[in-house]
Amino acid sequence: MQLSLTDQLQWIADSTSILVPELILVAGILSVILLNIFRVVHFRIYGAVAIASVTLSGLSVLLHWHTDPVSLFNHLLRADDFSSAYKLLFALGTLLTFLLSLSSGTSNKPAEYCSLLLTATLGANLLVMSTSFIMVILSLELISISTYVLAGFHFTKPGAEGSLKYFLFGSAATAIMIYGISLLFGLSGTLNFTSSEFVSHLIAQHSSLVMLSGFFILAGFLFKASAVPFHLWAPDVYEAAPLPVVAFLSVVPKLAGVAALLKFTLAINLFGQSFFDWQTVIAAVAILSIVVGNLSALAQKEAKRMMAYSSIAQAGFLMAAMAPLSLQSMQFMIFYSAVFLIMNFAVFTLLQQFETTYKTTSIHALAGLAKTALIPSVLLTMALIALTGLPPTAGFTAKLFVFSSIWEAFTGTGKSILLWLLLIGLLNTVISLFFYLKIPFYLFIRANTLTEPASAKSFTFTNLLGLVLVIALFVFFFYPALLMGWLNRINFVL
Amino acid sequence: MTADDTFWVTRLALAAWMLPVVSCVALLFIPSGLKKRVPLVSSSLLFLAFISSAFVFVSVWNNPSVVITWNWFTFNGMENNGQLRIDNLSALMLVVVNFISLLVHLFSSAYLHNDAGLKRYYAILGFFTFAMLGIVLSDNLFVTFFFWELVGFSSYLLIGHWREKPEAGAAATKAFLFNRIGDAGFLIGIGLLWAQFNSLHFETIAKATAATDPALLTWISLLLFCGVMGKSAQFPLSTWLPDAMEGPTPVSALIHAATMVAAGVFLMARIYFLFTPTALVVVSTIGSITALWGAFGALKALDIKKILAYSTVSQLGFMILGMGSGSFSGSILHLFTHAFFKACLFLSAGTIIHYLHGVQHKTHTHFDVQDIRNMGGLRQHLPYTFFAFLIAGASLSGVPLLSGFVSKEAILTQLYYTTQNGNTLGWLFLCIAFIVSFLTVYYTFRMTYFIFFGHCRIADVIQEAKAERLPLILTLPVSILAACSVWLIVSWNPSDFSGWIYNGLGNPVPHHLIITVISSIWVVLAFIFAYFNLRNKPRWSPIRFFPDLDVFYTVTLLKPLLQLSRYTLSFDKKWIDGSIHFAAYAQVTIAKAVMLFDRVLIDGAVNGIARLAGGIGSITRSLANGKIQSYILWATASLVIFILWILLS
Repeated sequence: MQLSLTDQLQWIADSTSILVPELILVAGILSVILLNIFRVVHFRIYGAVAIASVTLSGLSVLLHWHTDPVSLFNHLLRADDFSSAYKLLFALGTLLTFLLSLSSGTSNKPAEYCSLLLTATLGANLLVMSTSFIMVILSLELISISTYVLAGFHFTKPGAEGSLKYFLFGSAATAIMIYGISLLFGLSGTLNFTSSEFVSHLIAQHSSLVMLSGFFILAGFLFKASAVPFHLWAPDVYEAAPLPVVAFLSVVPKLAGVAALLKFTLAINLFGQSFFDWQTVIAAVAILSIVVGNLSALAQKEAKRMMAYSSIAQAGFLMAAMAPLSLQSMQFMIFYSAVFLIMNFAVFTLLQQFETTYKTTSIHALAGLAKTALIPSVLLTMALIALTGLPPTAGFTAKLFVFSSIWEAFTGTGKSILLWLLLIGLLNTVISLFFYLKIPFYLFIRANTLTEPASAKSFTFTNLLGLVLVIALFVFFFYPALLMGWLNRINFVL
Repeated sequence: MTADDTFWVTRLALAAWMLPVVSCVALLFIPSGLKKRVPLVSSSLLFLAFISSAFVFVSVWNNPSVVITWNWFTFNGMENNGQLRIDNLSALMLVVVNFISLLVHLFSSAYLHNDAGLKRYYAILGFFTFAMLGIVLSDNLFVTFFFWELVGFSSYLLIGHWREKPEAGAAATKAFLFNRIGDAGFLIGIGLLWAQFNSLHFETIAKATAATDPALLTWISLLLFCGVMGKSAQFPLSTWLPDAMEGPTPVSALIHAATMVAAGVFLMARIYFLFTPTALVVVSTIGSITALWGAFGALKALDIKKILAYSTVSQLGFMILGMGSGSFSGSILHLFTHAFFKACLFLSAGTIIHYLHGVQHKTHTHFDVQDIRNMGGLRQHLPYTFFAFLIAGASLSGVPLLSGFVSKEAILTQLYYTTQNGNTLGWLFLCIAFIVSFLTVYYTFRMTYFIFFGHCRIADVIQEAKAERLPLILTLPVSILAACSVWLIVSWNPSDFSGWIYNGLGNPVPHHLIITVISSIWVVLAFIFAYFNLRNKPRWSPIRFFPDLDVFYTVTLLKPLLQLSRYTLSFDKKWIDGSIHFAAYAQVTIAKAVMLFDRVLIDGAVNGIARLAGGIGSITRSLANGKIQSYILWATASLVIFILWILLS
């Protein structure tokens, strides 16, 4: 369908007016760079500008809520309920990252730091809106390249090493993905995976190449979500990167990857008409991620590295939430995403508190610190209980929703892989207890073997942030309707 | 009696009742430094009590009775009242109890002046007097039972006063247990009364008895009589009284001669309206057996106090026998006179024991001071005691001109009248009464003869000791009691029992000259027989007829009971304990098995899973070895494996 130039210009103008949240982010990026030109050195100024742009972006998402899907830029992007919900989560995640960064104090190259974080958020926003493979690759790379740099922001040798590994691994994953996209483009004749011709062409194809190309494209998403088998970069990068960056990496790109994966899976599954069962693949990947993440986390001695494996397992749970591929499961997935965002940030916030006070995140070094730092210890314990999925926290509610929707899907379809997913998920909740509660065990039970620890200030901004997040976890346990009632109104159209 | 009089009578009666317990409480708080003042304090209070009761007696005697009613407790909306009654009977007993208690208080101050537990002794003595007066004043069976038990308890404490003596403890326990057996029946009787009449007030019950089934009344009265049997040492619950002589002698005089044991007889007088003719036959039978048994016991006994105790049992049996005659007046009269002469005899015995103890102490010799075979010819050494003992003993024997003769005559006359009313069993009871009075003379003569006459068997020891004269505080109470043993205390005419006291008690019978003559002759005959029999060292003696009840109880009850308890014990050990041990062992064994199961299988499984998880974890972890080329290799390889698996499946 060829459009006239004026029509095309009109489309561009209309689309741009709808892209307000992204434009605000772009404005934020540009103003940060401009400030740098004027040799502003204070991290707080950059932070304030970035926080302002993120907050405004989030508010504009709320204000311009698109209940009816709107296609933009000749079907490159689409604004809808689903993407808006995730954009809101990304804004929240980035905001928390900035708050965490500010509370940790000064930063090297603040302008670059802020602009890169905003760019990654912009990439995440675009990724969840993408309907075209071109946009998928572009926004994935937008996230990837900025996070490659952010991962090395300690500017140390391990930091650089981690960053380089991340880059190389990511490049390989992207290469595989692009290969898959090119194959699929050849098979379907379109890059728009939500279009009807994409579906109709692929239904006509009975070649294994469709399946093969689908697997290759999966690689890119799994890399972003740090799911098995593209998870190997995570521990090294998490260990070497600054803590706020780790918190960001473990939430925003991961959620973006999972959300995009959902859209892609629904497309490649051809709305249930595919001869190949993609649900099984998602479930299998979820099982592997949960098992590998949890089992590897068991013996970790470093809190950040442990959290890396934990986030691999959590990616598995997010994919498990996606696995039923039903409308309700998507609502539960957003619920799980929101809760995961809160609890993960809570843990990292409190780890940050320990890191700034005691200059270490080694689990053994935390022994007996509950005596000197009671408030962060208690809050951290609660956040970890939420990550484990125990009541009375929202972590329990989220897992309960996920497991119940899997059970429903199993009773509906009778696929044994879903039952396995359910059983292994439950079993791994028990296993995860051992490493999550290792930190409270060291904090409260083990005596401090080292010298007298420095007494910590209880009333810090970091603690306050942690407290707010932990309270949110309790609130969503007791009133899950606050979130679910809102999610229930969301329509999902692909 | 005017209302004003009633007011004062009530107050004085309460004073007479409460002053002994005031003494008890006061002694509990007296500092131990004032220990020497203890007898003075409590005797003074008792004196006041005696004066009050004397006033009460004078005001109330032959006047309408005064009843005090108060709400004791309200249970389930039902008011339970307690009643006290001051009439002829209770006023008389009030005086007697307070009077003898006062004399015993005085006597004890000399008798027990070196005792370590003097304070405790006087306190319990006061408490006992209070409890006894509670029985006396009560007009409600439940109030009576309340004080009945307090009397039993304080008696237990007093018998066991010398707690270092094991015999005293055993005797106290025995007395307590025997009383419990009687009280069990008593309590059932009270329960039946309550169920039947819904009241325990004597007067209320008395009004209702006319319309009651006689068979039921017989049962109730006999059950209540069980209590009487326990307290008044009636056969077969009689053996505790001789044993109770382990207590201090003044206690024996007060409790086991004049007051507590008399409580049973007194209670019978109070509940006399309940006794049907059938029940009275049983009562008389029990009384006659007791009277005979006690008399034979007194013949056999050699311990001075035991003789007196058996004599008391016999006399109590005599009173109960008299109760069967259809009137309680004679028995109460005998109870009254007996209280004085028996207390006198006990205190005299106490004096003798005290004297011989002093002798023993000075000469450092050892002999049983209570054994009458060690005495003899004491009339030269203890002249006052001798005279008092003689008068009281003669009174006990029923020698004319003395109180005992008069009261015994009353009982005999009453029994005689029952035979005139066509009661054939009455002749049997009358014969038994005469036999008992014959035996009484015999054992009293024997006792007096052994103690005061003939050759003194320990004359040289007494000579050596040069014992000084007895203190007045010992001889005075004895003398007063001896003086109270003459006929004048009962009536003006020494041969006529129906004097001023007898006529004031319930339903009196007229005097009968035949009985007076026969009993006088009978006593003289008995004296002659006793004199010759004892002088000639007789081959025949009534002693061999004495059945030792304790041996009988031991053979018939105690041994089978102990055997049974041994069986049950062995059963308990073998089967009950065995099964418990077996259960315990089984439990431990199962627990060990469970523990083994837990260790090997459960823990093993858990540890195994943990080790497995750790092992898999270390494999998956080993993939992240830090080499980026191997990361990419593993990622692509697993993707290929994935694809192959999908393609091949």
